[in-house]
Amino acid sequence: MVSKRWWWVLVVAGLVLPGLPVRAAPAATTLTLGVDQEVVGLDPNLVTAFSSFRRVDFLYNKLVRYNDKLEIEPDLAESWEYQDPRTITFHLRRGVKFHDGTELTSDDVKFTLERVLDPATRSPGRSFIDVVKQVEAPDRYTVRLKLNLPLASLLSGLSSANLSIVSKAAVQRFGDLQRNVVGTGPYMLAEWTPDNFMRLVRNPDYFRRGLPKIDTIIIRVIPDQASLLAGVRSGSLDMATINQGAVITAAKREAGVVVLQKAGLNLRIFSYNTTRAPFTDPRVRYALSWAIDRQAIVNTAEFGYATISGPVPASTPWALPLSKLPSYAADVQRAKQLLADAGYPNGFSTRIVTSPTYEGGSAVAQVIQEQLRAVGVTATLDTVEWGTYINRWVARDFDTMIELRGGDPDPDRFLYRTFHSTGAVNNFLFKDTAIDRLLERGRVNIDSARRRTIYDELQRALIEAAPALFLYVPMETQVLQPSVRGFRIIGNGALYYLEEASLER
Amino acid sequence: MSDSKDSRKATRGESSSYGTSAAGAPRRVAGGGRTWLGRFVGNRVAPIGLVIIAASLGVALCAPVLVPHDIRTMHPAEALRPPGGPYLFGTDEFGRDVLSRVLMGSRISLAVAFLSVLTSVLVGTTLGLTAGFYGGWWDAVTMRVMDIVFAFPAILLAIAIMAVLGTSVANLVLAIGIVYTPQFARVARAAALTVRGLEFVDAARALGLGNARIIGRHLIPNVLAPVTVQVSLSLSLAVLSESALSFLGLGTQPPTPSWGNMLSEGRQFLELAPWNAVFPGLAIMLVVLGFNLLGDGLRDLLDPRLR
Repeated sequence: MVSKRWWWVLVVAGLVLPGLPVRAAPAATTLTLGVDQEVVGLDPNLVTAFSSFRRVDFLYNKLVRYNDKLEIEPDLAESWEYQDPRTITFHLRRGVKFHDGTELTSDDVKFTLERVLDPATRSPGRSFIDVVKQVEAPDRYTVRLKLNLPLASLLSGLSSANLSIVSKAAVQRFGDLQRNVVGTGPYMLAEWTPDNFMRLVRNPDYFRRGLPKIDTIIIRVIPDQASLLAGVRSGSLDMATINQGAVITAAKREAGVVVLQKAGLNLRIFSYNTTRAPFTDPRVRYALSWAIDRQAIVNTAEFGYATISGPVPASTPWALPLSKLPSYAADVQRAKQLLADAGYPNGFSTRIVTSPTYEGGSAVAQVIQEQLRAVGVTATLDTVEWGTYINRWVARDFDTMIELRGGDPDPDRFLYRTFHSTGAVNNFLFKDTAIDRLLERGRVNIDSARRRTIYDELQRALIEAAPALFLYVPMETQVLQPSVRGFRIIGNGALYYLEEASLER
Repeated sequence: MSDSKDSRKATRGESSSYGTSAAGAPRRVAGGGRTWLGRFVGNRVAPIGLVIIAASLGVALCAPVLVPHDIRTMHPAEALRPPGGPYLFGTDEFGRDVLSRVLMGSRISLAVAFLSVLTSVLVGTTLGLTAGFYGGWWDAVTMRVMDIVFAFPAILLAIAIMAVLGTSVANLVLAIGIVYTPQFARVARAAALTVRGLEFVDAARALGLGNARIIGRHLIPNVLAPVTVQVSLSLSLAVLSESALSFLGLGTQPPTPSWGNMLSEGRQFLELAPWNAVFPGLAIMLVVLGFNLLGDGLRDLLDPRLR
């Protein structure tokens, strides 16, 4: 029998408890992201693959980054200013913490930049900032860069995932960060089973207060694009990046799938080895530009999901309108005439290296093969598997090749390393002193009006010298569940705005 | 004692009972009393296989006059049309007629299959016969090499060979030919081993026949039966190998259509335009079925234990 006293206690409790604020934890949210490629490692200063950049973006931050309008915005650096064209000072955010709880300071930034600049590191980001002569850290939250030459694309270079700021202590402890993640990013690495999945958990100390909104991100590797779409459709994936035209078309027909698209920065090109006859002759290379119907390639190989482009990605403000680019209206008679003038009235035979992957563009190769046939050029396809394709690219072992190059919002970063005679990825073995000079002038001019005239001239010069035929810029495409809200797609394909996204199931 | 009498006696006692004597005269096979042709027609599956194969060969030979559309010219405006109207099997992503490409594709698929199996038969049977007949170090070396080749999964080995040689139809024939050589070597060696110790071979030797003539007159007729069965089965595997290599992009190169590369390209549009993959897939299925039915039927006919 309950005594009277106890009875009172129960009554009071019954009245009071429902009125207390209930701290029921909101259900943890998990977003599952489908990707088509596994990453080799996660050290942001060392990785080379685009697939790695996308993951590194969740785990690390740069000094600056691009927003969805492709303008530079602050990341770890709160502000910056040029003292003179060869000196720039960055002011860092205060209180930014690495995943291990230590504070990010100018010492870590100095260490990272010097690590990237050290040739022994073999960082792909080195060429983006190799004008940096000296990195100074005058106080805990200030970093000053002294440059050998002014570099207009410096901020663009610093926004690369390869320039993500790493923890000095962590690098000294682990050697490299391929398997160990100590970043400042919105997510922390919790679990990784290579070729299967990676689990990232929310960084509670992230410097953008209130972000990220989603607690856990699970990244699943599914190599087949149609399976990625099937995953989003069935609900086993919340989001996936796709690029095959047929899959995009199928996604757009699906009622329960949201398709986000934006003009990208990658550039599809048809490359020549300019040391192999007949491509040693610029007239031959340029003649073929007239033989190519770019819209037909976009329509068949990309299902229309691409924008015709010159050497500067059409999605950036630096690109000349197509009407000002020579040879962009296909004209078979003109192509034949130019070929005859160059000494090939009956055409010639050549080979096109291609691969069945999206990047290897085998459908593009087939359309080009057919279009070249109309001007008497017999092209044989060398369809090789992806590893062989890369090896032949590195060894410059090709007559012509279908490529997908990673572009950039700043014209210097893509064009200089691609077409300068000393460029790191000039695998056309292209040498043209006039173009070299334009490239050099374009990068040291910080004044954007003067830069514009230089790049306008350069675009026309590149099309006529034709180290490659510039074709189009494919669209960036994300497919997502309607429950994913607040994600912004960026032309560079980066997923860092996932930190602002939420799930509303 | 004549050769033929001995050979008949020998073969009757052994498993092989293929119907030509050593002297080359047609010989009735023991049991049943029906002719070889009669039993072939009476077999339930073999004639179906033969009809399928004959029809496929006929189509392949006449393909250039049968195709309704040019197989190379692209019509972007006609891309991915469903079957019907002027395009019985629909069109592909480039607006080319799928029916025309399936018809022309049969030429590459079948030509590669026949030529590669011919290569395997010639090389494999020669190696196997001589290995079995001479024995000793030659047998040891040849068959160990064959074992090594045999140890690799067929398609993996073919991929490796294609990667080394580069992609061309000739290399495709060579790669598939190499992969299926050990099977013929083993079949031929087994038959040679069985026959070489028999009395009629000793008799032939006693009569002064050289090794070459003994192999030609006594061994080859005895390996023909198992090799014939193996040929039919290998042809179906060769069609599949050609398709697989082309599917992987290592075989027949565009714009030349082969069923494998059509299937590979069509796979990307399986949802939007299934006809791109379905028709070449059906063609592969039909021909492989034909060779298998024929092979099974022949085995039933030629193997006395199954009769």
